[in-house]
Amino acid sequence: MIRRYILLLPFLFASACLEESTTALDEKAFTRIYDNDQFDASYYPIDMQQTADGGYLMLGGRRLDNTNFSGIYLLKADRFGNFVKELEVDESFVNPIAQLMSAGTSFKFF
Amino acid sequence: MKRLYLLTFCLLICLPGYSQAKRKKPASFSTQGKQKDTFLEKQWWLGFKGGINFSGVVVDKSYAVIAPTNYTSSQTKKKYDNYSTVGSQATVEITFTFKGFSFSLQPTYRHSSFVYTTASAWYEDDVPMLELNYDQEQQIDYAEMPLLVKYDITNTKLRPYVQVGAYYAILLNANKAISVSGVDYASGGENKFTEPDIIVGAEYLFAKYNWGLMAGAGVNYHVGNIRVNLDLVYRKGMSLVNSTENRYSNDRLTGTGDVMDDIKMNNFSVSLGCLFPLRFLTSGFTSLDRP
Repeated sequence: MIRRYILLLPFLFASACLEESTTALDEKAFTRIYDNDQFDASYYPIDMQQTADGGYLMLGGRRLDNTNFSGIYLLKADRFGNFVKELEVDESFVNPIAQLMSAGTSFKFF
Repeated sequence: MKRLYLLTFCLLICLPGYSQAKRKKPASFSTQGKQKDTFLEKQWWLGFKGGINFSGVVVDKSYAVIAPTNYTSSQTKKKYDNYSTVGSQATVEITFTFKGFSFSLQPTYRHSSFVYTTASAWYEDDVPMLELNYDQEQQIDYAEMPLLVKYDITNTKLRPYVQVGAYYAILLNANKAISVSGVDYASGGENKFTEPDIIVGAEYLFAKYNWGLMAGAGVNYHVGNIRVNLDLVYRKGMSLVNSTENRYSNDRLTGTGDVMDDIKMNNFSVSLGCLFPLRFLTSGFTSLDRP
């Protein structure tokens, strides 16, 4: 009986070494390049904070056509880094501070 | 669940053999003639073969570095060009034949490759300004341990057979080569350009072990005491061939927007070789007389 189990050990070892995709791994590490397909669009990152839902909020600057001040760009990603939505803040608001400041459940950048 | 399939398959292979071993009865004087016949019906073959193979992949789950914010992700999705590149393999075959059935262990060195392409484009007022194309080739070397059961369809000089089995593969080496080309419309006109290839060692981007099922057919042609063998095998990958943990670990590759999907690799191989009988090598014996 023991001999039978010993025979199975290599197979158990072989099956344990196989790769399997897990949600935990997908969440643990990822790389994303958020891309806008407009040739003349220009964005740059300023800060990023993790939100209560496990996702990420990114603060960026954007080039404005009518002023040398930097515009404001916000991007929300889910916990896997997938794009959820973006916001180009109105041009009347310019030059965000250098980091997202956590204030309770919200974030401030002025 | 996938591991359970492998384990069940292994159990099916090993347990019948174990039970058969217990049923052996001691030989009696009256059955010695029959035993001699049985002895002559068995044959061991040792052979070498080599050939070419073509690989294709099946995507289990798609991954991407590029996350579009104002267009659909399908535009940057990978396009696999399956079975378009040629690999090679070399095999040592050890086969035991009994009454038309053969049990064959075939340690193999296999070099396989597969390719995919991705493309990106940027526009101004719906007019393309810049296009970038990435051609990605993966070259992978495996040490394989296939176990096959064959059945000879006829008992003639030209002896076709069918076969099924499974393999376990160990990764030996892997490389990735990325060719970058594009078209620049922004500088006026249509300026095509190519960037130097990016070639990286990618062993850690692939799974160290994988397994799969095999099925195929072939033909043995008896020339004297040896068999000339033509062998066709289709391998169906049953586990992932990519590393799930190291997916994003190469900054050079992720910087170009490249990341491996969860993929299983299928493979079709053609081999030519010869087999030598290991028993009855006397001047009067011809292997054609026996299985």
